[in-house]
Amino acid sequence: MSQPSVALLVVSHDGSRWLPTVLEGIRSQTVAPTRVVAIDTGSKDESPQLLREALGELHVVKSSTTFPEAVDLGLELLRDDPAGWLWILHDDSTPDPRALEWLLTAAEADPSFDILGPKLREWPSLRRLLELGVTISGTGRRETGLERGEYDQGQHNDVRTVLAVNTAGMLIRREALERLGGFDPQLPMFGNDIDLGWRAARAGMRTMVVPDAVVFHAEAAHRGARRTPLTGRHTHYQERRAALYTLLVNARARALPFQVVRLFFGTLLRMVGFLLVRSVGEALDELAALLNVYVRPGPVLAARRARRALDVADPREVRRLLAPPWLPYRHGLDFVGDVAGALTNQASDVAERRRAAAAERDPASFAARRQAEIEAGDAYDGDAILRDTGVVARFLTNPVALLLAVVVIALLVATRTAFGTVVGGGLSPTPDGAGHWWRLIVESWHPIGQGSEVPAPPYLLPLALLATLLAGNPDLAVTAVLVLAPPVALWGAWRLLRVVGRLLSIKGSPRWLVLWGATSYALVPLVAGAWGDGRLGPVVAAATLPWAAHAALGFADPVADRRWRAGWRSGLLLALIVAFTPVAWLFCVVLAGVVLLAARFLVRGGGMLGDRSVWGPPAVALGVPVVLFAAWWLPALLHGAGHGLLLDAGIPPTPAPSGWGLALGRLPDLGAPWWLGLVLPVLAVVALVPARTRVPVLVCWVVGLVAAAVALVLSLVTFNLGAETSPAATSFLLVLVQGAAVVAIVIGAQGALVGLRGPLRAAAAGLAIVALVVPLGGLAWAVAGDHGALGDAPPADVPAYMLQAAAEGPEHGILVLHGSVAAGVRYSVVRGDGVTLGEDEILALTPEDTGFSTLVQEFVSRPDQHTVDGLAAAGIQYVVQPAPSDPAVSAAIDAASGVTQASAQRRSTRAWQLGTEPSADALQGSTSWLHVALVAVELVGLIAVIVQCAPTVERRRKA
Amino acid sequence: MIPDTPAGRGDTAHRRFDLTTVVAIALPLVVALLLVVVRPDAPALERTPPTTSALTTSSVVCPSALDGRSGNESTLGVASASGASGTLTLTSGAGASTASVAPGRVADVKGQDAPVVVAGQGDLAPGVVAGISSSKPLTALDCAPVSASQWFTGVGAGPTHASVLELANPNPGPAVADVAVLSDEGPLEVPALRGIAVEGRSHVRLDLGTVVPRTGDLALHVVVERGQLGVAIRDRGEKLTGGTTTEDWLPAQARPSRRNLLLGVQPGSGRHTLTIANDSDGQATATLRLITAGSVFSPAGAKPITVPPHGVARTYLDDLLKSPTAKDAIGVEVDADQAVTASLRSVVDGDLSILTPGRRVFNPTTAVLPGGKKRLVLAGADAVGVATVVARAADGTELLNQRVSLQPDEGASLDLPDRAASVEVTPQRTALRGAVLVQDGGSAVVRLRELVRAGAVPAVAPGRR
Repeated sequence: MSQPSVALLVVSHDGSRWLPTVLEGIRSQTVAPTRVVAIDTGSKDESPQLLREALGELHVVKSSTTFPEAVDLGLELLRDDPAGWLWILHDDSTPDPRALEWLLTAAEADPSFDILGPKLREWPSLRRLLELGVTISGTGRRETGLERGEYDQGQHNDVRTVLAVNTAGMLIRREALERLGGFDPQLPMFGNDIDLGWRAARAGMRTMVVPDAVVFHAEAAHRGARRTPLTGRHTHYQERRAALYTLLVNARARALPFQVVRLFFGTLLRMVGFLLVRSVGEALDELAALLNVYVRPGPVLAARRARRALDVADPREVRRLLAPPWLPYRHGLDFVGDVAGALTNQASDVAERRRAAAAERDPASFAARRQAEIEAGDAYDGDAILRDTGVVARFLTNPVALLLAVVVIALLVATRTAFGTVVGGGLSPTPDGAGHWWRLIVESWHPIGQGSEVPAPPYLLPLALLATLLAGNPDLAVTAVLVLAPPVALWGAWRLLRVVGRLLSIKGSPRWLVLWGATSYALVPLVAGAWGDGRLGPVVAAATLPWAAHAALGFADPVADRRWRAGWRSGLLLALIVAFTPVAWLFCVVLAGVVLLAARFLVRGGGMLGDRSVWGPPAVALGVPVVLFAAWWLPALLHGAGHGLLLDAGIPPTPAPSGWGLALGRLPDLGAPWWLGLVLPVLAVVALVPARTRVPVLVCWVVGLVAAAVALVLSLVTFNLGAETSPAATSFLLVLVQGAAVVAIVIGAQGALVGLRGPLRAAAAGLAIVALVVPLGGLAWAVAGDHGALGDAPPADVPAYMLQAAAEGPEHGILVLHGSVAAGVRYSVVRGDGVTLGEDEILALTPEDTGFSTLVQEFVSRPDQHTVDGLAAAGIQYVVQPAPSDPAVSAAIDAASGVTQASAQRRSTRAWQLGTEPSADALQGSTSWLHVALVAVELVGLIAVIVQCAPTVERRRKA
Repeated sequence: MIPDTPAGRGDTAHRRFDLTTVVAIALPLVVALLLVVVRPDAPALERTPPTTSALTTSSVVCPSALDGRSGNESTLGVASASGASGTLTLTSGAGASTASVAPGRVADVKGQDAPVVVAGQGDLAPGVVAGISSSKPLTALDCAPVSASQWFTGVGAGPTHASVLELANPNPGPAVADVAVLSDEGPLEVPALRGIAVEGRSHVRLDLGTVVPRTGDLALHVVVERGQLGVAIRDRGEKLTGGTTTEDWLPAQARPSRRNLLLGVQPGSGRHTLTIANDSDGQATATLRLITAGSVFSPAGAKPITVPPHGVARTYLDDLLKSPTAKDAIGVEVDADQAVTASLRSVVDGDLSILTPGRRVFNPTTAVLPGGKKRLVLAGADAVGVATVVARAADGTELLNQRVSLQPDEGASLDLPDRAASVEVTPQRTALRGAVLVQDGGSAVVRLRELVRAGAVPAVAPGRR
């Protein structure tokens, strides 16, 4: 068989690492090329010598020579050569001995093809597929149609028409290359193969991939293993620029405007994606590539004109070769899925990774033996059986899963009060829209009460975010928080207890033990009475705490980067807890101090603490809430509302449990029967008995000790909120103490279950029955329902028509009077649509306006026209005295001139209207730029922290 | 990590075992100790008592004069216990007038057929005193400041004993009152007495005989729901056969009490009706004690009176007050095991007079008196003390200045000169209750009351409940 004449063109640049193999590959070809032309683009290594020794003929050009220029030079050198085909190889691509033979055979078999490409496999793995022809998606992504790292098992061995093939191993009809004008010089390094293929397709030529021909490719430039003056440091920039250019020059004229807009916004979206995974360099590369192409449209337009001359093929035929339009969206979904999966897996396998790290350090250790067992599949024999069964069957045959479902349903039933509008106890009505909350967050001066500079409480930020996500519906947000908090706590506790169990022993805690612990914990805010009293603080803290603790376990990860991620994630979760129960931060600082002290005494050498990646992550976790809520605590301290840092979310004053209440998990006068709470503390003491697990149980007790000490200090603090005294809020400590008790019991039980024999078995069974009282009793009590002040009717102290008037403007204020002459009169001012969630704290913490108080005092004792005018000037239109109203107060107001009685729904509620027209002049406040700046820090910081929380992308970590 | 072999790897393991055991015992104890001392203050509302301040204005409301028999003359006597001179304003539906007052002097004004609001401003605001009286029949009433809640026990709504309720609104704004009615058969639902609206600066008169026709004595609890109202009851007795009409004021009782002192009794023959009302949920048992100048004692043979819950009981004390033991009685004390209200209605020689418990007096007080024979009766001292009594004529001339010693469980009485138009009683070291019994062809009783001398200014602070 007479072979057509083929000239081989080898382009090399600093390729001495690969060249010996490449030259060997060329030499061993079963069909030798008739001529070999080697071009070296200014290599600084031994490449020129290697090529010269092997091939004899070498042309060295300057290092700025682009790939298209090099190919042009090759064609120039072959001007007098009769070779009909040109075979191109890179210095990092080595052909299989029969590669050229297969390519030529295919070319001969079907002469309608002008460009042929081999199957590209990864070098040095040699097994993984890289490319079998490529195409481009609408967003400019290079599409191979292969999974990442797919092994070549002959699954793609069909000869097929493609848009383009890689230049490494490309066999092209010389005449075709000359007709197309070579490669586009605007694409010096990347993407010129796709452009060439696309142009060829438009010119009616056909490109084919020949899977039998195999070339191994190191992709040195793409992976950044080789840096040339052409790629620079930013290979991503070059690749992206090439993609944008290729799309714009080859798009059909009709589709061009759409493509221009799409690529612009697509780039912005990709930038956000890169920023989210902390790939700032790539994000900037995206932007630079976009600007490079868009700012100078000249080359694009010129290239489009040149390509128009080639057009012969039916555009529909060309389009068929491009990637389908839905492909980018699937990639987007894949990306989101990957990130979510990585997020959930980050801490859960900390136990495995610690074991793996221990095994690596000492292959003879216990950990290494167990690791080997796991890998051999012995340790998880139970799970292995279930692995291949369907989801439904697995669920129905798993009693723990069934029980878990029952618990979740019971929790949802127990929280049924929260469906729809929910208000009462410590929970104020919600405002009309999420915008109200955002306004409270951003404003430095609130026109509520007599005007206040006290910043909005920090929990408004997560609530506002949630409400915004829920179509701007604050009602829905509060319902979601109240309904989902117990199941979320259940889930978090489940995950935490499982990891804790696996940290202690390879098999982890038994599932039913974890279920007991998670259910008991999820019930804490309910049986404590916090849920029923509408106290969002402890409810959200309880839901978030196990997740935060779970994230904090990552501090013990053997990998430094994962420790940092754990730091950011626990910081973010701690911030969420702190937003609702600020005392949590204080506790964590004290706990960190205790841990630091313990580390100093217990860890010999102290070298660990010298490592920034050891102490840094916990420090980050403690710092995140401080930075994120600077817009809250700093202005609060500046405006005399510092005691607000010790208040929980909810209408102040917050109920503070006594030590007894902390131990039993009950807020004062609220919650389930107290004796039900006895079980957890008693079992927590019993958990100290098993010697195997005594140390980890003691760790839980130390947490309890720190909580008790913090509670003791806080119990000495009492502050005034107007006419009321309030203790510091310690409901977080209640949740924490209960949580620590649950963890201690689960650990203790896990220790006790190992080698339990004889009479001890009976004792353990007795304890188990006692322990069941906690979840069963708690659930039964919670499901019975109707335990708290939470309901769906807001208190109607103020007549509706007054609220309507008040909603018209800040000057239509309503002065609400409580109390009596004998015990003292308390006043509050309602503006807008009444006091809504988030405004309670602002009102309670606002320092008393003594001038206004004097005015009110005059008004309730001996009002005259002057007093009435003064109130009107302060923006008061109505006065309301809800039942039980002190007749002495109402009689004094009744006797005043300039005041007329107004009607109220309830006869026992007294109401008046002031005769003087109210004014809003006194309610003007100035904007504090400090606050605005701090809010900006808060929002930017939040995004930055979320970005820092995201798991590090695998590719980057390897690099 | 759970050790795969239990403790016992030589000395170090043993020692560590000991240490963890010690810690395992000590730690729960320390935690428990800490928790025991965690006792945060519960959230609390601060009770701040009011401060007092000088009044800028104060007033009392006098009811409209009684339309008695021919020749009857109603007089409104006004005075100021402020120690200042000036003019008090008298406002009624007919218009406003003034009366000049000076220390010790009483200015007489002709009674009007409409309630009169007597008000003092500035220096004259503290201690506004006014009394309305008539001669035929002899009636007298100390005009009281407005009150949000008050009791009237022993009112009638029948043919022989009927009362008229008069509600006067001293303010420009409207006022609303609710009147709850108790009868011997329990509470009565009287829609006409619910939500009685009184327009600003006007008055409403309700004839109970028309509104709630019923024999038997009733008790009214008048609660002013909105605004302010001066409330007065005119009690009228008629003999269906003889056509004799007798009339007097039924003074209000501020609130039910377990100890009710009815001062100013006229022992002797006549019809003495004691009415006790019990608005509590339990049955009340009341006992009677007689107060004389020098002792308080339970008369022999007096039976306890039971009053049903939310009901009224009526007893006649004719026999008791006619008996020799009651010869020197100046008052009757009604003690009950529940807080009750009481009144003693006496018709002696065809003239009606009504006693109801007055309030305790702590500070110097003044009462305006009609003409006639007068006797001051004092009782209810809670400690040994004295009362300085000064009686003055209308022009301020001092007619009597005497100290009366007071003791707990003792009454005291002092005859005042007939000319006396006012009496000033200054308690020292004790509080007291008192009344002046006036007899002039009939009888009437004027109670002493604590004067409004200062305003209570409540403590005011921000707060939402």
